[in-house]
Amino acid sequence: MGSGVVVIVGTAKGVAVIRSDAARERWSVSALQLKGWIVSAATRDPQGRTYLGVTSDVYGAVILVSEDLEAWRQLERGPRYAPGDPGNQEHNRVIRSGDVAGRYRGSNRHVDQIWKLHAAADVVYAGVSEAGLFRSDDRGVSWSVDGGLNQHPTRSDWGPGFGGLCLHSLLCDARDPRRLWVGISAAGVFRSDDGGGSWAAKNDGVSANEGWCVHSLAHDPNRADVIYRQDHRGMYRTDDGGDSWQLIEDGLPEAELSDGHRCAFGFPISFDPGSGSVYAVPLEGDNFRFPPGGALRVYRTRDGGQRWEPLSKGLPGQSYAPVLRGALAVDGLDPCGVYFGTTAGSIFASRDGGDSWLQLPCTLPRVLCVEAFAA
Amino acid sequence: MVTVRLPAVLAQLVDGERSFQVRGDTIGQALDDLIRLRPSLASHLFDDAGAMRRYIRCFHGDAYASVHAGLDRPVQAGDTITILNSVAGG
Repeated sequence: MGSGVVVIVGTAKGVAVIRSDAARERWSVSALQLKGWIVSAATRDPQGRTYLGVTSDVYGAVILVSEDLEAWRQLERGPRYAPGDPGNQEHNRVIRSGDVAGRYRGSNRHVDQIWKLHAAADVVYAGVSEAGLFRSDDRGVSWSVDGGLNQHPTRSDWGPGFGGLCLHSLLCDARDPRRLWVGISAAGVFRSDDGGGSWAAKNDGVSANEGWCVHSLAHDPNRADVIYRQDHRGMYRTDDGGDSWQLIEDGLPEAELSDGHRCAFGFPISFDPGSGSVYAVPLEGDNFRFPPGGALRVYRTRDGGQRWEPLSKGLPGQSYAPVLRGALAVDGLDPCGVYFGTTAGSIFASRDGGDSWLQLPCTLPRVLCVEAFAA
Repeated sequence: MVTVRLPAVLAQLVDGERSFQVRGDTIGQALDDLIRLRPSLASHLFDDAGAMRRYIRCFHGDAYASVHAGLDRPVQAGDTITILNSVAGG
């Protein structure tokens, strides 16, 4: 057993770092850091550097890094669309005269928020809104935009979901890093087999209504073609890398959507490679977006989605606070630790794969993202 | 030298420094010098198109310096430029 777990909790007003002892019995919650900043994405690279996607409605979106989870340094050149990016229309307008203006030229596409950060072996990826994918091959010093998505032939048909036109999900094949999957709301899932040079839409078998509104993706990176998909219109699985999708909703609560369609609705899913379990937190449809009937439950499948079971031991009997897309994570230990945060700022932890839950002694701002790592 | 003061939210990203001494004969030149000292501030003060971000308010002493014309406003040694984020709602 290692020395414990670190859970990074990004909120609407800063980030908290939660640490446990080796047994995951005792927990400490840091004071909120980066106060006032929207912390919407986090990841850690193999060398132990943590990356945060932070945004301010006033001051824009940037990436911060830290080696110790205390001192944060802003990447000077974060993801930015530029006039020369493929697919961008350059208008090159100078906003005003003067020395300041002369250094800046515009593009039509802007990075409003960092929605997803993912550190693979030698690459850090950033999924952003307005929807796009950036990669850094030098640990964040420089970033390049994925031209294949930027000028995808279907791009003009992409429409935003409730949270805007955002690339919020990214999966990488650990055995073939050229194979990538992204989830874009509300354009659907796209797969690249050539490292992002070209992308094919992968939504066959998924119910659609004005586009494919994927909510989140999860898989085992070493068995990459088996992917779980929480979609606006149900829970799906593919065994062939997205070429075809099948509904896997047995045991999940069914909700009625605003258009009358009935399915298992929700946002976050997470996969534990050690046990093969998948975790989800359903909601009462897109009309209400709170736990069904006010009963906060995590659902788990241990057989690839043939059957889902509710997990409630230790969770509150009544809670109407939902769990957002990025706010559910596993720690990869054995037994698996599972963590999630609610929009009401509550944090729940399980050290037995979800069989039982503990509410941590804190109330944070609205929780946007949760990432857990073995310390 | 001209003093540029930053709001607390932004200062967190520049080691907590709230106040900078800079050179310049206009607000624009002073902000240029600030960005020379702290390059990471460029993306916070100006958007991708080079315009000052929409919800930033800039004061010269006690006077509001409008976003567009204000950058050419002359400043003198000893003056203070204050960067604020606009506040709305209740």
